[in-house]
Amino acid sequence: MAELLDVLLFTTLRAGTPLLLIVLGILITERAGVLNLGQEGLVIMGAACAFVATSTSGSVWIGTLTGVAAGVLTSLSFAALVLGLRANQVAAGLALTIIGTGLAAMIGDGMSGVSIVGMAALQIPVLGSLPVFGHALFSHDPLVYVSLLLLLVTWRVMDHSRLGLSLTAIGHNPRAAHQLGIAVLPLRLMAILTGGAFAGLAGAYLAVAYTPLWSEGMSAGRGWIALALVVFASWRVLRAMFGAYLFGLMSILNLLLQGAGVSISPNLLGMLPYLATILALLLFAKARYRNTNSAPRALGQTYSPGD
Amino acid sequence: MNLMLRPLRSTLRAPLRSTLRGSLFSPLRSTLCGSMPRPLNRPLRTLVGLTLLILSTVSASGWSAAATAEGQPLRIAFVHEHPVSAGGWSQSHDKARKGLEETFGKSIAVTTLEGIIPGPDTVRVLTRLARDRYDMIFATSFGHMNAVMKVAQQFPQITFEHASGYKQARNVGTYQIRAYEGRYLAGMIAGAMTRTNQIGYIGAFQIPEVVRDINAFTLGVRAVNPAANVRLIWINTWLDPSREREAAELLIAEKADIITHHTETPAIAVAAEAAGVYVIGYQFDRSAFAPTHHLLTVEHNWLPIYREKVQARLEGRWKSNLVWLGLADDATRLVSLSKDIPATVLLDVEAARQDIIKGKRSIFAGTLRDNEKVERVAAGQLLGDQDLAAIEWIVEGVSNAR
Repeated sequence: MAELLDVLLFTTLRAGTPLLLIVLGILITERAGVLNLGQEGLVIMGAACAFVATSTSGSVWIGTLTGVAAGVLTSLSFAALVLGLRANQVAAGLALTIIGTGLAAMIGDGMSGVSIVGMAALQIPVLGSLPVFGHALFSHDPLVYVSLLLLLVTWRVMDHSRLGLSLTAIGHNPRAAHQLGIAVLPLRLMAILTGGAFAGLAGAYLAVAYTPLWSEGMSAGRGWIALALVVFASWRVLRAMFGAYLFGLMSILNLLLQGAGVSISPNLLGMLPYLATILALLLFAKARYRNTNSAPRALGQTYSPGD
Repeated sequence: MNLMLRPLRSTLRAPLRSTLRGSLFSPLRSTLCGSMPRPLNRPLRTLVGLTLLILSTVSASGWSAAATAEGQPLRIAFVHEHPVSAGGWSQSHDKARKGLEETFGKSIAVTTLEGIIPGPDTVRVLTRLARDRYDMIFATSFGHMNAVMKVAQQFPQITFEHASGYKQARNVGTYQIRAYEGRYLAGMIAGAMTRTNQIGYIGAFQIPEVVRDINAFTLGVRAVNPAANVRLIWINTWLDPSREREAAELLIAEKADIITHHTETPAIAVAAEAAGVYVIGYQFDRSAFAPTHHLLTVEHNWLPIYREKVQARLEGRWKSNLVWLGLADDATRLVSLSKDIPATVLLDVEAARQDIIKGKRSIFAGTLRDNEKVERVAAGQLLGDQDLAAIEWIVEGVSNAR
């Protein structure tokens, strides 16, 4: 039983990590009022570039940084479209997904038979050998802890800092924020690029740490799931984190129940993560934040200070 | 959403690839059909349509046969569900495509379309290929079946071939590899080598092709080790490395010391290597991903099938049929066998292989029970190809939900 719990906790934490990273990136971008539907493209670009860089340089860290850089650069093209040319955000985001998946396939061409040495797990001396939760919590690869650190920073910045307030302000009413002296476009640019970096890091995590291999389609729809999670989490950092890990837990539980021989159709079990996450977040939202609609009110609208 | 978008990408890449692979549109045809290179105005299009109509009535059953006779290459198209670089099913077909090009050289011109998700997009893609006057179209995913049947009805002069399905028509042939024969041998090795008597199996979807392999593998395991169990997990996707790995690790945590899979990527080999348990690869040699713990791969070799089908088409003697090749034709084979497998086990496996080839041993011979202990095949009975093509019950010895 203790062993089962250990496996469950360990794999949940790992399965939730890429989702958590994407979710945080989306949250930052959307709080600033920009809807970026290109997450899937950003993640797969991050994965492809991280894998190719790791395979050529031999260093997982160079690979990870390349993945982040790929996310930033790809989202820069999105920013150029929606901020610079004031293009429609939905269309630009979808285009980003299409271009990202195609480009990633091109970058990764010929890489699918290549194997790399993935990111090794940290061996934390004392904590790792604690009973019960020691192994499950303290023997992950470094990126899992990086993601937790980023979670803390994002939570702190978004909910408890002047910068977070400014971001929320330009997400709700960019015109008013502009008149208060907040530089709307530079802040939005920063939010988009940060979101890109998070998605790129998630991709790098998939290709370098989680499953050190390259396969087209390895993002497997996580970008879309994360976009939905942010909506259900009402754009709140901690609830988004809860959603990401719950989704991870449920997708593991789906496999675990099958292994335990529970006689439910695997197709029904396959729906479990989606159903459970939607239900939990909806109930959560109903209980805590009745009558508050926390969606950024200017989400998806183009804005230019000259208007 | 993502699924909807991928075919778009593949169509964007397709023309580029086909050009790169040297299958240029013949200038005459591209002007006549006009679907790709340049749009025609309406009167011209009507004219072209009329010309085509006349041509097709005149040369009743074969524009393409005539074209081949004039020394034009046979135009072949492959339609894959997955990227040919993903390292699995689609790639195993693509490997045979290379073999075809080597064998037939200039007498064929091949185009490959990848990432064609089953559904309306397949119909669209197949229709376009048919309008572009391809002579022979291979659709390689089980899910392409209904689209192939639909489009083939509209283009009776074009030869369609569908891998792993069970529907045929006058111009639709099917083909499949008896991979279950290879799986049976792999099961014998796994049964002989497991210490914990738990063998993990990761399946994608509960369709006959996958179920057949699981059953044959388990029968192989049980033939040498009646105490061993196969633990099965369905992951409901062909391609998601993370889920493949998660499933592998759960099976390992439940004491499986050998794992195998019916999914696309090498993620399971990676997980096995990291955990220090053996892995039996599938479809494509996975040894590079588990240098010390790769037992063997049950490899697909589609070339004998494709060679025969294309040869028949070139010689004008093609007929719709079901080609199902196995060990006897080297269509399924065990490759990269590990040094850890004891020589005595290998001898037994080789003997079984010879027996299967000579027809002395039948894998699906009664008495067979399903995993709820219901008798499915009575003593002295055999499962025929028709039964195998539609099999959906899981054999005794597999522990899973259903």
